[in-house]
Amino acid sequence: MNLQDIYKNVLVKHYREQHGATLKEPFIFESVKVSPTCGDEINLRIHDSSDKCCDISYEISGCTVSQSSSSIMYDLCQGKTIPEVMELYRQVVDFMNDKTSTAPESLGDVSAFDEVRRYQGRIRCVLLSWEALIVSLQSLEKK
Amino acid sequence: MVLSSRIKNDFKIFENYKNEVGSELIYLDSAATTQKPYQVINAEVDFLTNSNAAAHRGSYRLSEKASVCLEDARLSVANFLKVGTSEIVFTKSATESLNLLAYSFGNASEKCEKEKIFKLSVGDEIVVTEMEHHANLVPWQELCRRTGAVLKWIQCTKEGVLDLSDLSKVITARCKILAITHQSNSVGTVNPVEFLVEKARHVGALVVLDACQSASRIPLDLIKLDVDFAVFSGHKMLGPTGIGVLYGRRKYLEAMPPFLFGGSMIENVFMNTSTYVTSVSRFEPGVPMTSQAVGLCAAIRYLEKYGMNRVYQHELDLTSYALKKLSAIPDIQLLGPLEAEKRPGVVAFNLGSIHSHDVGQALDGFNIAVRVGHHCAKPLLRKMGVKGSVRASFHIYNDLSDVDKLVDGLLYTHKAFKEMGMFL
Repeated sequence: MNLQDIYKNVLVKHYREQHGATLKEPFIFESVKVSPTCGDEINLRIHDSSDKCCDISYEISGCTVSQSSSSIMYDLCQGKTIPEVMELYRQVVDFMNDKTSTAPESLGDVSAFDEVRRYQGRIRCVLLSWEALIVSLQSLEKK
Repeated sequence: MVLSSRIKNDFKIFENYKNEVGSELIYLDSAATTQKPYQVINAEVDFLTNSNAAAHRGSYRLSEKASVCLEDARLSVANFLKVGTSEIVFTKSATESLNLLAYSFGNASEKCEKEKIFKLSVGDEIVVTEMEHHANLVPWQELCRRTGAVLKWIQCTKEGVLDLSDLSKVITARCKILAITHQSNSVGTVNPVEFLVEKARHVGALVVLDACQSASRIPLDLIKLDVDFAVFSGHKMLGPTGIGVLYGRRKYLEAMPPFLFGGSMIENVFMNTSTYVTSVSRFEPGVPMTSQAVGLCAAIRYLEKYGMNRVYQHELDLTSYALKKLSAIPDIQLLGPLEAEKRPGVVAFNLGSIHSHDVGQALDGFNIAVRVGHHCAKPLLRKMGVKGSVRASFHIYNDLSDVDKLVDGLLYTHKAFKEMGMFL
């Protein structure tokens, strides 16, 4: 195992300088998602009720992978519509579960998780923030 | 070391792992589950290939043979704990044993004289500690929710030991149950059980002991400890998964209402009512897990071959060595007591600001298996001010070279993460 293959520079950069990682007020929806296995926890807020889901903010306590993934998710989802976010989530899940696939350009820095995909436990770390966002959007739609 | 490194040869997984992966497995997660010697595996295989039948169900000789196997296992457990066979219940696990107690107490009726001692009313108190595994916390939370009893706890210090300074305010006259861990699974702290039992006796409370971690490390004498109930799991003491033990004083087991209902635990069944046996079978519905009990019996015999005093000394020696070597690693933050005798067999730490999952990932690259995260003990970690930790835990198949490899792995990890700029 080469740690540099797993912890690529771009991931470490997102980890050290996370984007969107300060909870903002006011918000229209808030959710907390906890990983039952490792205890990583994200508190995610949505600040817009229109079709766009821009202005996500969050606070996360977790490993390098979950923290960097949250930052990347923020970059990708800001300014996107809800259907666009859902499609991005689907692509992230597909990419993380298919270890042979190449990440589409639309996923941007998610491609840096290609070596992380080899470790089933770390896939959950990548998806934690995405799942928090998707569940929040789905709950908002039902309201 | 009091135990020879050759013991590892009895655990075939180490050879198989090396053959498959090309490198040695450094298994330091025995607090989660232990590896199994071939003697335990062969005992189960032998039962399944030569004696398998439904114990206590059939009238044919093979069933009787299975019954003898089951009861021999029960006797071995009873002798191991220095108690009687009528005080040993086989369950699926320690978690099930604890839930059995909580549900049984919750089912106790005030109208039944013998069940009154277990009955919880509004305002009664259940006392646990802040270092409990979730399995010895959540069932009691739920029991309080069902009965109106109040959950209280003995707090821990940031060093991961019990704060015994204000016990009289915690264990009061309203305390009906004191449920405590003998040894913390997350940092390894051994608690003063006899001292706490004395406090419980003073107020007339029942005592439940979680012996999951201690049963395979520390010589146990439940009579001396004077607890009313104790639980542990087979898989944490070289035995198979799927078997746990509940020890209960005979007078209590005979009085407690059942938890699970079905075959084997009944005396007579009509369409609208049933009666139940008074023996431990009352808590063992269904066909018994005999092959697992046979495996547990073989595990106990394996441990007794070396003697629990030697096993304990072995754990102490490894822990002492580990604490000394780990303390020299840059940015290491050791958690829990600093003396091996206060936490035999378990060490816990963090590496600076690096998340435990990242440390665990790096160590896995050296085939070092440790546990990371909250260890199902979130309240204790919260009290110690950490979100997670790395835990290395030992057993008789470990030796000093395993500790050396752990230290080498951590030194490499520290250097690598430092160079990558991951320390905040």
